Amino acid sequence: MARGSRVVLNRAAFDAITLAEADGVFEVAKEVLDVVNVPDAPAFGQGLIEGGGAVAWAAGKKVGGTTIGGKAIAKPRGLKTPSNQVVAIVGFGFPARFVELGTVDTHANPFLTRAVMQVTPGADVIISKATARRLAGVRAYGGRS
Amino acid sequence: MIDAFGRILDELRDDAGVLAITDRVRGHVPGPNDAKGAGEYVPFVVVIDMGGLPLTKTPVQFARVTVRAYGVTPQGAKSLYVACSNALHDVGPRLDSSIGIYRSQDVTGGDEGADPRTKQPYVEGVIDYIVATAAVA
Repeated sequence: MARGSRVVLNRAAFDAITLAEADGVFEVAKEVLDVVNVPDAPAFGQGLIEGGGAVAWAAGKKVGGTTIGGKAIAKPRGLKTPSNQVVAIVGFGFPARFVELGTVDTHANPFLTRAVMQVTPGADVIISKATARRLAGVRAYGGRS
Repeated sequence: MIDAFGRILDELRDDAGVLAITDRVRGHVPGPNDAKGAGEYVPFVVVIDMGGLPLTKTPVQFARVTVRAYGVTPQGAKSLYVACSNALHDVGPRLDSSIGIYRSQDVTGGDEGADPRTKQPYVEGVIDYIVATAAVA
């Protein structure tokens, strides 16, 4: 006799999985903050870089954030946080852009790009660990764990 | 490794669309008489080497440059950036003097800004390219 199959979705776990993904990308952003070496020379007439941070969104909702310098980080205008994606950003406030990419008077010093490139090769491990931590408390479907 | 930064510069300098607007395509910093005050602006391009990750078991590097196109007006800056992007975006394998570039791609599109001193408008974006780290015969 042919056996039928029935797929039952563990909907509660979907939220946990989304949050786990957000935790993962947020950990990558935090790792960039940990390794970045912020220059202490002011860009042309623009003062020092004082603030920075990392923020993560899941399904359009902010789920994590950390700052250096104490100021809350507003979502950049150009950043999209779609309802079906997790998004994390890391960066520094004005005048970091001019330090990172230079001006007509100063050389570029891409300190943030360097940090990102340093972290990116190990991002899979960082995401994996953070995801595992979040999912450790999720019960397997069927109630047997 | 092989430094393909100069090759990227040459591709921009040789591009007809870019040449139609300016022949001032510079590496790292502006050239003499590029950066001027308000009312004297001239269009020019500065290409900044952002480095890139060389792979360990494959002779390939994922390299990155920032292209900053300065214009007389914001619209002019955008036009110049678009010309630069068209010269490099989604361009496939090419070989020049043993430097092999597999593909280059505009990964950000243009983002507006202005220089903090001269206030000259610019549009900048990031170009990623995949380059062989050994000479290609």
